[in-house]
Amino acid sequence: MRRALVLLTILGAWAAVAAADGGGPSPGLDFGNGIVAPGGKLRYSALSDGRTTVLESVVIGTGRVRGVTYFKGSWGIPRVTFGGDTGGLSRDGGNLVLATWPGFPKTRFLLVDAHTFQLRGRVRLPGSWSFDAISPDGSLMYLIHYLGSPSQIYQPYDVRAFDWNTLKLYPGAIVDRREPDEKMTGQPLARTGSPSGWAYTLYSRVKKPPFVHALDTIHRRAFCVDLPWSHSGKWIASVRLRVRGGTLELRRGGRTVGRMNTKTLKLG
Amino acid sequence: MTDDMNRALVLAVFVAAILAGSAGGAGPSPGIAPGSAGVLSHNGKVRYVALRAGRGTLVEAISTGDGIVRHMRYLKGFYGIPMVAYDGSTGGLARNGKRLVVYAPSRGIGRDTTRYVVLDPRSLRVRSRITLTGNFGFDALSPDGSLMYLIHLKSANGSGFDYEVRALDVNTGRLFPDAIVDRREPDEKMTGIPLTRVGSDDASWAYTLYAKQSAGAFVHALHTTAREAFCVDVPLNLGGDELGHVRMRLRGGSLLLRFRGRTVATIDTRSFEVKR
Repeated sequence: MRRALVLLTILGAWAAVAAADGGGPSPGLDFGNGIVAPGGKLRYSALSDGRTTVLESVVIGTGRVRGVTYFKGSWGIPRVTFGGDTGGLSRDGGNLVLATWPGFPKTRFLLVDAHTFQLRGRVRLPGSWSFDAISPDGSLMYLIHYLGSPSQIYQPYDVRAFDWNTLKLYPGAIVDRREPDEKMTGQPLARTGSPSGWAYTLYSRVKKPPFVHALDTIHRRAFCVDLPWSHSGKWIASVRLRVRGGTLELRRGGRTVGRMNTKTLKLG
Repeated sequence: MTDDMNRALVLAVFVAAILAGSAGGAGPSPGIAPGSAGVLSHNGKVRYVALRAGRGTLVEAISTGDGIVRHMRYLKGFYGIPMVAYDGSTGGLARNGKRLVVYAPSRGIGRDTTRYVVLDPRSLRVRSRITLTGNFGFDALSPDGSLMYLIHLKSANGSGFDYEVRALDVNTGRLFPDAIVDRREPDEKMTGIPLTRVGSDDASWAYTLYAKQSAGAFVHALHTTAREAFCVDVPLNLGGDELGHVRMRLRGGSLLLRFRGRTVATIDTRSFEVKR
């Protein structure tokens, strides 16, 4: 337990420093909040003491533990934003990804059957990676690959796609083909998804406008849409996203402060 | 697993225990809850569970409303939330919410120690650890958690269990001398299997329905602050498997024993007089 706390402190500090410098985009792993299954009846949590990880599903409303298993090692449900959003559960509710902490020479991921907790796949990737998104059926996983040295705080990164059926990475990074040379930077602050498999993430950048990263998790394509603000003020951290009809709404304090058409990616 | 399945499982264990006489060293104590149900706080907002985690146990405080794990504590060794009856009733949480007891049952008569860990439910920090030589189960806690009642299995053989109820001072970790007996019948040995449990709202009384090894049933009424107990024979005219479906509830000054939706016996909780 103590070791886990030390690790958390170190990694928390790493994430915080990185965020302050506008580089490290990984929010790390969740610690207790878990992720809610589609339908809202179950919550999955992964809890680790550093040596062992207990994965459990808890019935919302009663707090009863419905399923439980444990894995050797320290695993967690991935956070996908600094706002506390978690990911890793496919929209069909059948697959759950667990990850080790990024920032080490190797990063490992597990794919678990969310109903039975049986292990469906495992992969160990050289370098520092973190989870970004999963396709609706759980067959494709999107990862952030940190390209700098482990000691480097400012971390340029790529988004990569991983096929759980073949256990292989797709070649090449997932980039906005309209601007293929633009490097991705920024910190993820808010996330929402759509039933059609899109993951929308609000990113802030130092001295640059915030942007929405729209990732099509089925067809492995992404688009970056700069938002019409001159810089990413602190207020941007309180913006939340939601999809309503064909519109992505940016909401703050109960008001809609921005809209994006999800088909044309035009701001309204 | 559904509640019915859980109940069927523990009843199956119960029947097996009856048939085997002393099988498994569990004796009259149901042991520890297998994870999922745990024990619920008095206001129903937090559920405490103990889950196996590798070579240890993860104790969790789960918010029932949203299912979020609010606190957790890793303990070396295998501990569980105490079961207090074979219908799946659990215990171990003091009524005032300041002590939670988990325990590791002994592995058998003759080479046994029983280990208890007392936690603060608000943080799950360990308040104390108590190790007793012998085969003990958990029975009840006083409302403030300062007194713990234990089932001490002294021996078991083909003819049944020999056990007693003991009280332990949680602050000192020491057993009070002598067993808790019904002073009206001090020489009568306790025999039976706990089927179901209900407690008074202030947790000062714990009422447990036992199936006798011979036949019939009795209610063990334990005064958890006074270290007193009373055994009340209850003529129910039910078969052994039917006894497992009797439930109890308190209404006013009466303890109602209910079977398939009807009251089959009523016990006055002051006089312990039984009415049918």
